[in-house]
Order: sequence, then C-alpha cells, then structure tokens
Amino acid sequence: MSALGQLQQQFIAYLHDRPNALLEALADTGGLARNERANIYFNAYRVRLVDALKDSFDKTWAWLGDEGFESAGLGYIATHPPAQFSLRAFGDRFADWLASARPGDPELAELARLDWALRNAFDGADAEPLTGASLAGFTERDWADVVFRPHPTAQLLPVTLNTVDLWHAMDSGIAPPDVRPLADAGWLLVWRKGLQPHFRSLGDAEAQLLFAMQRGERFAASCEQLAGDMADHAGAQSLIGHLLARWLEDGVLCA
Amino acid sequence: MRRLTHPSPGFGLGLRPVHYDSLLASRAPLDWLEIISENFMVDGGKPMLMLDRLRADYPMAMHGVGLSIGSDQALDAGYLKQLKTLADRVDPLWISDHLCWTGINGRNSHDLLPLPYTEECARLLVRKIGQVQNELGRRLVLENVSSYLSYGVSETTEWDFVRSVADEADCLLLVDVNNIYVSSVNHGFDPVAYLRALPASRVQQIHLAGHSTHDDHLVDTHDHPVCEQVWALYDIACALFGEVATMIERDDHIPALSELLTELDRARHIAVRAGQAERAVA
Repeated sequence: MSALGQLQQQFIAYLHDRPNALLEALADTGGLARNERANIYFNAYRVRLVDALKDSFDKTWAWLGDEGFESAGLGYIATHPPAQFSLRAFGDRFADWLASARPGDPELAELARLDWALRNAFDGADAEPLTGASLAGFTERDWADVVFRPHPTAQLLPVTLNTVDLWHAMDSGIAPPDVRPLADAGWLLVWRKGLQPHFRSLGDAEAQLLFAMQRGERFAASCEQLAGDMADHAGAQSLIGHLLARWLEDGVLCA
Repeated sequence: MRRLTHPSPGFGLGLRPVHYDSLLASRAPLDWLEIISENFMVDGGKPMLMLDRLRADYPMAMHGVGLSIGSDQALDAGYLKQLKTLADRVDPLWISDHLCWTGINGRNSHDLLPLPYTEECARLLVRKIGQVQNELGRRLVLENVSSYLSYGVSETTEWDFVRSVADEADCLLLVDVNNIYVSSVNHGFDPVAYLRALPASRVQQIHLAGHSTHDDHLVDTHDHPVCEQVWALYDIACALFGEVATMIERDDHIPALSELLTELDRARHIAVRAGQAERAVA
C-alpha cells in the first residue's frame, strides 16, 4: 500500500477510535498540540453523524431527548460507521440497531422505522397517481386482468405498540402517553401524496391486498383470496370497494 | 492573462431549503445559485421539484462534497454516474468539489479531510482529476478546504501544492477565501501569500462564508456572517483575479434571504470598486 493510503487508513482508524498512529504522522506547527488538532476531526465526525440522524429521526429524537438520542446515535455510529458517499443513507440500519441494542424499549425501533419510512417517502420516486376517472371505462375483462401498482413511496410497517399515538403526541408538542401494546398488532401504510409524506393504520385485510399489489399480483386474484379468507363475500366486496375508493382518493395507487 | 474559465455570471448564493419559498415567491436579485449536488441525488419528491422550478429561473453551479478526489483508491463509478445524471438535468454553469479526501476502503468520514502536500499525492490527484474531467467532458472546479492539522510528510506549502496540481491537471479553482483565512489562523501562515500564489487564469469561483472562533483556533462552520478579515481578503482576491463569480455559503443559523442578499451586496460593492481600480491602473 502507498504511503498516502496508509496515512488515510490511520486517519480513519483514529476517527473510529481504533488503534492508530495518526498523531505520529502530524506536524507540529505551533499553537494547538497534535492531539488537540486531530481531536477537532474526531469530534466533528460524531457531531455531523448524530446531526444527520437527528435530521432523519426527529420523533425518535424527541422521544429519547437530546442526551438519550446522542447516546444511541454514538452507539450506532460505533457499530455501523458510514460506508456510502451519501449522508442521507446513513440511518438505513438505525431502527434495526435500536431493536437489537435496546430490546427492552421496543417503541424505539417502531418510532425509528416510522421516521425512516417518512423520510424515504419524502424524496422517493415520483409517479402519476391513478384516479377514479381512469377506471371509469373499465370492462369486466379489464377488472379481471388489472394489476395495480402501489405508489413507489408506499411502505408497509408492522406495529405492535401505540406508536402512532406517541408520534402524534410529539408532533403536537403534548406529553406522549405511556407505551402500551395494541390489542391487535397491525400495519402502518406510509406514502407520499403530492409533496407531503403521510401515514395511517391499516387492518390485516387492507395490508394483505397492498402486499399482493407489491408482489405484482392481479387485483381480482387477491380480492378472491380475501373473500375466501373472510368467508363473507358481500362483506368482502363492500370492504374492497371502500378501500379502492380510499386508495384512489389518497393517491396510493399509480398507473 | 488568458482566462481558462467560463465568464463570470456574477453574484450568487448557495441554495438552501429554508429559502425555497422566498425564491419561488419573487425573482431575487441573484445572478445564479449553487446547489449541493448530493442533496439532489434522490429519486423525486420536493427536492427534485424545487430543483426544476428554480432552475427555470436561475443558472446553477453544482457543488459536490462526495467525490473524494484525494482518496488513494479508484473513483466511485456509481457516484460519478449519479453526478452525470444530475448534470444532464441541471445543465450547470460548472461542476465543483473539494481538493481533499473523505474516506477510504469503504469507510466514509463525511468530512473534507486535508491531504498531505507530497509528490505522491500530487500524482494521484492529477491522474484522478484527469479521469473525472474525461468522464464529465469538462474541466472540474476544485475548492481549497479549511484544515486544523498538517502532516509531517508534506514537502511544500498548501498554496504551491494547489497551484501545481491545478496547472498540471488543467483543472479550475474555487477559491474559498474564508477557508484560507481559517487555515491561516490555525496554521500561522500569511493568507495574502496564499492568494498571490494561485493561478488567476484558473479561478472560476469564490466562496465567502463565516466561521466560529474558539480560544486558539477557528472552525469553518458557515454559521456566522462573513467577518471583516475575510472581506479584506476578498478585496485583495478581486484585485488579483478580476471578475470572478462570487457567492456566500451559509449552512447553520441561516437567516432570511433578504439578510443574505444584503450581505451579498457588500461583495458586489467590493468587486465593483476593485474593477474600477484595475481599470484606472490600466
């Protein structure tokens, strides 16, 4: 390896707080000592990365407070040092890390997954949403064949806790309720409508239909499957009609 | 002096999301905007819509932080591809990044780290700048970074290193006057000697910014107005480099657009005065 490459590896090892010989490679130029000079980079690295996490996980930050979030952020930085050129991507494993590092606080991972999904919805790919008018001329054959696509920003997240209540309380600046498990675990749909990310809770039936869409299945086939599961054809038809109208209204489907 | 640069478009600002609404509401007295390239390497949504809308009103320069031209490793082909895709969309005045390194072997510091001023490093830079310029089909514009440490192996001064790399690689320069001032205080060198050493024909752009002051050093934080010492250096830079596209960078404690426009007016006045003085001498 070249002398330059070795120097750069020493520098990165210093930033990562691993054994290194960076200080020996520095010049004395008066004023600050070598370790004080290098320490400016050591601190800036952590401050910049914690700030990037705060930017992406604002409700997780609000829940943990400054000190708690910084401590979690430093733990994540130590185990998942950034590898990509984009700082935007740095938080991609933060929720999973919280789930494994803080198993006694499962609300952290659920809040972080929601923060990250909203962030992804914000700058995810654009697509023209499907409107009711575009389905007006559908024939029976069209309905049998159609494969709907969810908007590219649509994401389905499992929830087992009252994470949505925590999120809304913090968003309104009021004291969040205690964490409690949901009577029935469910799903959150996160997507972007226009320029604004949105989310809402879903029942199993709606989640099942959206998962089927994400797999590229025919809509008629997934409706039949749902009706079979519900053993109530009229109820299933009514539910599907209601869901379809809501998806079209919310811009959840695209052409 | 035969200039190698594009003609100056005038005076601009770094585009920041907090100013989207003001910029869309009415045409600001700005000749151009500088975008941070990586902020627009996303798939869609508000950032890309704002980019397209504002590009319709203002010429734009692309300013990157992720090229890592000085890393002792091959260029990131995926990054270059995204940079070219963005350039196709923006049709920028020019494309800039920093004369520094940000990471190596799959680890990124997300900081603009200083390089040693050695022959080995100069060879690497000249080779890699050439590769980027071939890929982009244009001269790359590279900015001097601020620094807080220097290396024992350095064989020359920063300014001689910057000049010789720019001449040999045939690239252009973005002179950050605040970075020169910050480094001059941190390392104890003469900032005017630095400015005088730079090849005027290659200076495409000037950055002005503020910094924060600590007991015994300065940090390049872009969170304050431009300080008096940097204005004085800008005056000298205008006399040395002639008409150069100038802009103010602000990344923290970002004030209202009107406040930055007032600050930018000071740059215009200094540049006009320097131009008049130059013509009087001629």
